[in-house]
Amino acid sequence: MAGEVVYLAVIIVGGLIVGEFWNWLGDRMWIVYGLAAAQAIAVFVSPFVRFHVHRWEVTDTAAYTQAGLWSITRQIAPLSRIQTVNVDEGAISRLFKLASVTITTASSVADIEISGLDRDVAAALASELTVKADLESGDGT
Amino acid sequence: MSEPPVSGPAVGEQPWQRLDRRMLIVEPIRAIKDFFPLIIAAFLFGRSDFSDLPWQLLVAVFPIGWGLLRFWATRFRISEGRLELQTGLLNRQRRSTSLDRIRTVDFTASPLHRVLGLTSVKMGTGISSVGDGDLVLDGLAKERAEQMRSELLAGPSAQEIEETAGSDLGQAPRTGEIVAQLDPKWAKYGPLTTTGLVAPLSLIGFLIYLGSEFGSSADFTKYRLDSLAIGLIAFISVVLFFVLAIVVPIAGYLVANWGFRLTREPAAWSVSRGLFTTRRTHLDRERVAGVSIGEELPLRLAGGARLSAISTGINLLSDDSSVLLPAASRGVVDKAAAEVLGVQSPVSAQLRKHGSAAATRRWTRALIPVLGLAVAAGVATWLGYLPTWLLLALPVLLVLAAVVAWDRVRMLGHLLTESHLVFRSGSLSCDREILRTDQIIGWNFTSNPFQRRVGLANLVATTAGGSQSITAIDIPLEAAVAVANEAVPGLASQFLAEPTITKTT
Repeated sequence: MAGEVVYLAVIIVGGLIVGEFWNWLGDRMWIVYGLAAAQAIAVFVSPFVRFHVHRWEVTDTAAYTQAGLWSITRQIAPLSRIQTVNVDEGAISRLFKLASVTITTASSVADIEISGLDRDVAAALASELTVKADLESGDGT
Repeated sequence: MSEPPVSGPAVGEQPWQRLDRRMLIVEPIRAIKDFFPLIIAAFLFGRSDFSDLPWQLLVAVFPIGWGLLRFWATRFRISEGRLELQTGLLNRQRRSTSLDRIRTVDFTASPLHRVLGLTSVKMGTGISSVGDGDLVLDGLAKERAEQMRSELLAGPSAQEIEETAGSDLGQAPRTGEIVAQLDPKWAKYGPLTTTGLVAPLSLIGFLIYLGSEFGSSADFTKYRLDSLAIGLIAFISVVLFFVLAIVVPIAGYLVANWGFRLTREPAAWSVSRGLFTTRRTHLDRERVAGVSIGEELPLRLAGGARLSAISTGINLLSDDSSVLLPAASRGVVDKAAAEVLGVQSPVSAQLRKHGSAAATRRWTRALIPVLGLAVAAGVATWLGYLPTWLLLALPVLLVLAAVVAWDRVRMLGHLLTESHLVFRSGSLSCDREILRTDQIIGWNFTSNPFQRRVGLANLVATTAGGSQSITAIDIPLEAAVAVANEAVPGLASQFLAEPTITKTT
């Protein structure tokens, strides 16, 4: 949701600035307001859609997530290939006692992020993943 | 990056070594080259009575001193299974990497290096972040470099290497078995690769721009162009086009690939090439996760292809260390690919099609942009922004788009053999990517609403090497799940036993 709010701010501020200097747009400010209104709706709708779409699951050998709004991505990574497990708490997330867990493997396109977890769940998940990943040997490539 | 103990040789530690002393010649020359604009400026803008001479000499001497200091500031050692490298005069950098993380060793020798019998050694590690993973020792004697390579890539015994150390850098050692070597006839493929096509296309773009400039103003006399001038422009354009499109790429191909040789060595694949600057790459054979056969449309029509390795230790924005074969005839490429993979079937077997829904998406995706462009161009012409004759380009574009779409449908496919996963897609730029299934370290399934509506998805098999993944575009979901389940048994099946779940989302 934070991202959607940023987009909304960019549309409004950017639209006002560009409209100031570019007369064509300045005469048609309804375009900017229209986009802003659509984005404002997205700000409130997208969390529900995301909440509906997002899934995660960790078994003894693999981690699985489903995420996305328009384009939905499902990622599977075997725990034996995990290189790092990170827990991140953003400023806003901390207000809501939330955290995200990011699992990285040797492939840069396979970073799995499980976002919007309860802080305690995230911490427990991270330690669980670390233990499970450590059980296996090898350098993850 | 872990910090090694700074000083005091402990038990078993090796002494620090310097680069080859002959670098004392290379470094100043290189420094003068780097500082050349400054030196020229100092002499150009100096006063004519030579009162500035001391300053000017200082400017000229400074780079030489800088170069020499750079030499003294660099040292390295191989100790306790780690390679340590210390560089930098002002910002001292110390890097250390475990020897068993080194997957590629690259020798590059500029003409100056070659005259002095030196080579620059670049070691690629498995770290995929750009630039950070490579360690470069610029300036070792060729013999020392060979010896070092044998220490780094566990391979042939040291004696074997010493026997071959005397051979020229540009040539592979005699121990290796040659898999492929340059046939000068391959130079004809030079103009047909993607890089070879860029220059002439940019010229065509420029000519169209020029044409529209003149075309838009009905008053030709304003430019005072008589027939002679037009003829001259046409002539120069034709010559320029010929040079850019044919001569330059062919020459470039030969310069880059002169003496090309792909060799099988006991522990590595070795690729050597280059006319002026010679380069020899060693890929740890264990680390070659697969190959990618480049078969872009123009090259394919001429019966050619390219071969590169999917290998850990080669950086993300893959520099050309991954090249196994430059543009060469298809038969040679297929043979070499089978040799590198150890099996024939992933290279030559017929791929499985992705079905009619995927084909439809190829057509719509190729044609809709052209139709959109046609509408935009039509409106622009009607409003008088564009010359009418430019509309003639539209049917040509349409035909091109149709050809590309047809070819994309033809090329799109996937295949799972006993040991390898094969994905192919594209047309103007087309790759048959072949990855060993035990190198797959995860799966991504991606689908947008259009794809979900017709039951398609993009399947990404992630890996640590090359561009980090291979992708099957618009593969039917059932096939994607089947491929994932079979390629890495027991992984995806935990979650994707029923492919139908996607349709509910």
